[in-house]
Amino acid sequence: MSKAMHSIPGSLLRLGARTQRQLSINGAQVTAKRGVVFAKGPRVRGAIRDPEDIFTVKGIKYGLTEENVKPLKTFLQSKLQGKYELPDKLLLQIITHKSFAHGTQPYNARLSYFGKELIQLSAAKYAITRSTNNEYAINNLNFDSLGSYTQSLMKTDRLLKEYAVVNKLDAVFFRRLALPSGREDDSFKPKAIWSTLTASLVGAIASQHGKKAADEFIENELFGDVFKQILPATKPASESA
Amino acid sequence: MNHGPRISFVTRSSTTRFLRHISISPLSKVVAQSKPKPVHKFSYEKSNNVRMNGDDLETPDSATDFGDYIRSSYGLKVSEEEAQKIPAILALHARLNLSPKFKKSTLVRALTSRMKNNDYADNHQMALFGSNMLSYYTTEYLITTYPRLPIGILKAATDAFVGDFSLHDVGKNVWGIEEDWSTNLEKYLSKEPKLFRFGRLRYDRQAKEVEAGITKYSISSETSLSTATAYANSVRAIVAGVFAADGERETKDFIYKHVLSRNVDISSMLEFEEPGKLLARLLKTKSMEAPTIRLISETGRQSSSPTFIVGCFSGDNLLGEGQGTSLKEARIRSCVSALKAFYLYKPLEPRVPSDDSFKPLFVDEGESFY
Repeated sequence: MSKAMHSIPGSLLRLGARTQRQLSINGAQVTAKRGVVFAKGPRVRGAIRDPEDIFTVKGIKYGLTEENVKPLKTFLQSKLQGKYELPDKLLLQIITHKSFAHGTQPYNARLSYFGKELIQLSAAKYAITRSTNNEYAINNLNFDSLGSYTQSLMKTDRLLKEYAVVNKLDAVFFRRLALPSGREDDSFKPKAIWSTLTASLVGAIASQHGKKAADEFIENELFGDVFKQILPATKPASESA
Repeated sequence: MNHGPRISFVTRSSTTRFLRHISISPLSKVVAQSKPKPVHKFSYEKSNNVRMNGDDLETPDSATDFGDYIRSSYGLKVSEEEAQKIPAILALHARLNLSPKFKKSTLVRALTSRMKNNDYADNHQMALFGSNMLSYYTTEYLITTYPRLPIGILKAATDAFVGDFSLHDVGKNVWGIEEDWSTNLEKYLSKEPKLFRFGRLRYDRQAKEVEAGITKYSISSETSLSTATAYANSVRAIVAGVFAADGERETKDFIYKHVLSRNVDISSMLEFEEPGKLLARLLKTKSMEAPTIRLISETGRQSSSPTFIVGCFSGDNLLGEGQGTSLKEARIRSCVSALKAFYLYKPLEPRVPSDDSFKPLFVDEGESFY
């Protein structure tokens, strides 16, 4: 049985595939070499995509350039006379999602995880420290609003995405396009991906300027106008009663 | 039996109607309708995202006036004077070294879970706040101390610190909180004042021991809790109580003292299927030389119990050492120790963002390979 196995040409083929092979087809010598063809534009099943294509999102090429970090930089400079400024390398990391270029570039997942934890705590602290007359409040802290619809909304991806969109943090945003041809709808902004922009920005501010600065940023920026904007349309009928 | 959609069409040449079956697996409907698998959530994540339903909550006209929310089920309150008469409460207060500002009645509330037919203020939302506190400070501590932990390990480690089971251990075995097991009749017979039950943890049980050796698990309602969750919630509520009494800085100290001081073996959480391959790829992305394994010392190669010590090198840098009874085992161990040295990298004198003497953190770039 084992002898028969060795005589199968397929196994010989596999052995030969590692090196260049000389073949004779109809008397002509052909050297079989490994050829790589890159596909650009629309995705072709089984084809290898051009690396240039992978590192480009909607015509913007990935890299630590002034143009790429400029939108986020000007946004941070406009807030409190540049109190929350961040190094360029970190700015580029904030605007890179894990899905970009197969996760080979520094991405924002850990920063946004940290940021979301902080936003969650800030949202809870914000809610319980409002002035109250509730007789069950402890030291004037009313815990009763925690976990309600509106309070939960303060830490959702929806709010974070909305903040990123309103402030145009996504002007340069490196992520994997759902349609690599670039024919993506401009309104296609999944909140799971877009929320990482705001969350990682908060995480980065906390990691470079401390928790106090990040807390300030969250309270002034996130829980301000943007939160009120998304509120009325989403208030459920069951709660208004 | 109908195996799928039927398509009917009429041929032009004749008036006969053909019914044509498209061969579709009978499972196709089931597959198309199946919902995506629920994402696994750790117990600390679940307790962070508890939602209050509308029935038990009076929402003010302006939903953002968080001070005006009222729990409609609250009707009764154990007063401070009453709470000071409960020995278990006084003992717990002293044992935890809580500040005098921490009221005894808050401790009573922290031991009362949300229950059916309960008019007393409960710890449900205090536990939610305490959970947010605990998970933030744990994440902050882990991200500062081990900046390169993969997110999966980071979450598992957070759960090992502040998940239901570890907080159950803190509450029951370290703080000595007792459950309220005895029935009203037993309390009456032992002439125990009714008030004393507030000194124990009270909750609607998910499982009940019907008699010795028989446990009934079928009891599940909106308010029923497992023992671990009930204990964990009371610990979380006590953390929230510390915040209410003394503020955030003291709460942080309290968390470090009672929760983050516990020993969690993060190193054992990392498991590598193909450590050699993984290390080679890691070194490539960091533009370092490919790993080479070199024998450092050996003894008893010809004996039945040899020992080999090998080192995993990148160029001249020793990345990790491993020992084993065969060269292969030692090689794999050296790769694992090199990988662990990378993932468990610890900066010198880490300072968390909430410290006063804070320095900008080392921010890792994320795992840049799979």
